[in-house]
Amino acid sequence: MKVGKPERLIVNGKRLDGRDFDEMREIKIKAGVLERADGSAYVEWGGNKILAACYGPREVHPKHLVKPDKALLRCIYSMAPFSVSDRKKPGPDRRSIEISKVTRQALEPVVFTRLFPRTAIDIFIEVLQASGGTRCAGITAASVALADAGIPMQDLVPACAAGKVDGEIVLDLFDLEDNYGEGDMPVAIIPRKKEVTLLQMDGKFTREEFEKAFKLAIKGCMHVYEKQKQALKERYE
Amino acid sequence: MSTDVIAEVKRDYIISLLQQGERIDGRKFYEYRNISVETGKFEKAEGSALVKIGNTQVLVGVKLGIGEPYPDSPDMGVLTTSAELVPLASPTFEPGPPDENAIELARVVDRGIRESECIDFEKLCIVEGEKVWIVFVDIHVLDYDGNLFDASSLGAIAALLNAKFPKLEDDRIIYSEKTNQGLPIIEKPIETTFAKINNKIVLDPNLDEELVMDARLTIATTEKGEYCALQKGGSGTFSQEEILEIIDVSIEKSKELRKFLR
Amino acid sequence: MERRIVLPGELVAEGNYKLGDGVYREGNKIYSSLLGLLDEKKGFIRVIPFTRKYIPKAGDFVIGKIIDIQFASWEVDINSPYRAILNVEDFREDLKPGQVDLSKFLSIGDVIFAVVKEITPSRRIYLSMKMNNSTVLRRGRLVEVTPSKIPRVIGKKKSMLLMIKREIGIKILVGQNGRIWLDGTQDKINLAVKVLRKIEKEAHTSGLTDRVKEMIRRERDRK
Repeated sequence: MKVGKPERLIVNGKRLDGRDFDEMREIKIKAGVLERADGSAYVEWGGNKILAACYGPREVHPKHLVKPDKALLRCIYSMAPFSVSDRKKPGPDRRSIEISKVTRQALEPVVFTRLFPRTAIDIFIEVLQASGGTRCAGITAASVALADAGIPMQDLVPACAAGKVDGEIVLDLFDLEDNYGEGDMPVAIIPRKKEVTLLQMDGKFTREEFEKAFKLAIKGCMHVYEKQKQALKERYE
Repeated sequence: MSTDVIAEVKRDYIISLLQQGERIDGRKFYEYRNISVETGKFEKAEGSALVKIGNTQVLVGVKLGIGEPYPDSPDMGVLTTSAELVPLASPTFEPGPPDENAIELARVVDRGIRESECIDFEKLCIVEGEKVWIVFVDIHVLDYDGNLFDASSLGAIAALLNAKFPKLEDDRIIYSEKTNQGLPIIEKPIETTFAKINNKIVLDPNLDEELVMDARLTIATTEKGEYCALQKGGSGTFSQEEILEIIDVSIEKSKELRKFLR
Repeated sequence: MERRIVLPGELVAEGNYKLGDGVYREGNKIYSSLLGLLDEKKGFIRVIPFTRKYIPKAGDFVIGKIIDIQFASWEVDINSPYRAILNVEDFREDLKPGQVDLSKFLSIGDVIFAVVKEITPSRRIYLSMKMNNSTVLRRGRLVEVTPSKIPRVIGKKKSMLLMIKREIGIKILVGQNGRIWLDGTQDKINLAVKVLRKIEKEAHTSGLTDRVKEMIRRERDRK
């Protein structure tokens, strides 16, 4: 039994933060928040506060990584030491490295990299405050930053997680549910085609539960998509 | 990278403007850019401050932990300061462990806090020789447009003043419950940074000025008007007269910055 | 078609159009690939980005910065993801590589006004300084503007640019790569910079040339 686990995560049909099973946390997105970066976005998603920036297309350093026929897409996800309760030592850990990789692979399918051979498109995600679901918020922010930088893409990429908590399938886990629940499934999609670019899962789901969670996460993604579009439109109005 | 080599035309322009008593962004020589300080917006940190000086943005977080004191000061808490020049803040910052610039930034900010005796470390002692509070000051540079020292140190003090102890139950820290008790802060050091460009001295260099400056001087002063830390940077030199003038101006200017602290 | 702000993935048209930058086709449908302004003229459809990047085209005049010197050429930064190359023979015909120390003519940090001579399929960019206007820029002030706003700075048939030159009384060289060089008195340069920032901000509005002319006259009368 994990120390600190609340006795129940669902009480009287509601989650511990008062939400219904299929209710999302509040999301606010602002595009173009940094001066030096080519594109940037700031996302507040529940208790998460995440800053993403895009530099590119730009020269590739070190030169030996250059791809002759397309742009090199690179992504680094990082958490600030003060972003979590138990201070995180600065520097990449194994979890951050994995998240960096799946984030890149969630975004790569939409970027028209062949338009910029021999360049790099660099994405940086800094988690300033974490509260469950940072990788989805990070992908969401990075996608807006890419658009803000003028990188040509097929579509934006929204991300959202669903999971299982006290036997119930719920949408958009917050940190207590993330830590003490029975399953977590982050998903990212290309909204127009509903093609999946990120799918991970940990926990135990029956076939039925899997499908329920999967579809719920995609619904969540579409909601996030509206927020992304709104942020970009507001940038220039 | 295109920002490394500054166009000669730009350097010449900045220098000729300075000869006429003007700066490239229209400020007076000893004038700060617009400053703002927002505290407490990041709840996982025990204390936080987001400082903007012009377009430069630095976020400082304070975390508190419990650990062993140093053997030579068994009844005193511990302060540790670190800085990250995260790559999103500038096209010239690369991912990786802190480079010499990040290390210098952290150490200079740390010196200002430590030498001013800003924190009453004895009040951070829990069990002498065994358990003390550890204060982590983490500087996270978000947007680099010149003068990280002043933004970082202002942020550090603001974050320390904003910090509250988390609840301590037996030996465990319950981070999710903050008490009303702040850190024992008894001084408010302020750092001010000057750049020397071709024999002219300016306060709060912006990015363009930093790229062409010959040397830089950062001074930390206390509320009482004492000097507690100094750092010269850059490969140029200062004359003695220049240094004496700068440290006088520094005291005046630090009063302006101190107003941004609660 | 109405000029409106569009987003990547947004459906902008259906049917037979000629495609420019910033759009892509899937079957009969055409989508935007950029955050920018939708622009359609006589069956030619494109999206103008709000972005800062400059992608060079042959024939563009650019303001570049020398960043490296090779045996027979200079490497030039033109505010683009790609570095440009200026070969010795495209600088001056009478110079032969190996015979001269190139840094005597152009050294690192020097600023030049040159033309994009050629872009190879592998995106190697070659500049030339043998066109009439090409020159090395020694004094004056360099300003950077979002490259996609440069057409607005120039205006239809150079109307905006000529008006600014005339009304302020200043020398201006405009690079397609978003860099602008100004030469004149301090006051005039400051006014020109104000004007450029205004154009940058209001590039997508109409009646801008007249408003800018008014602004210049107001500032002039104040002095």
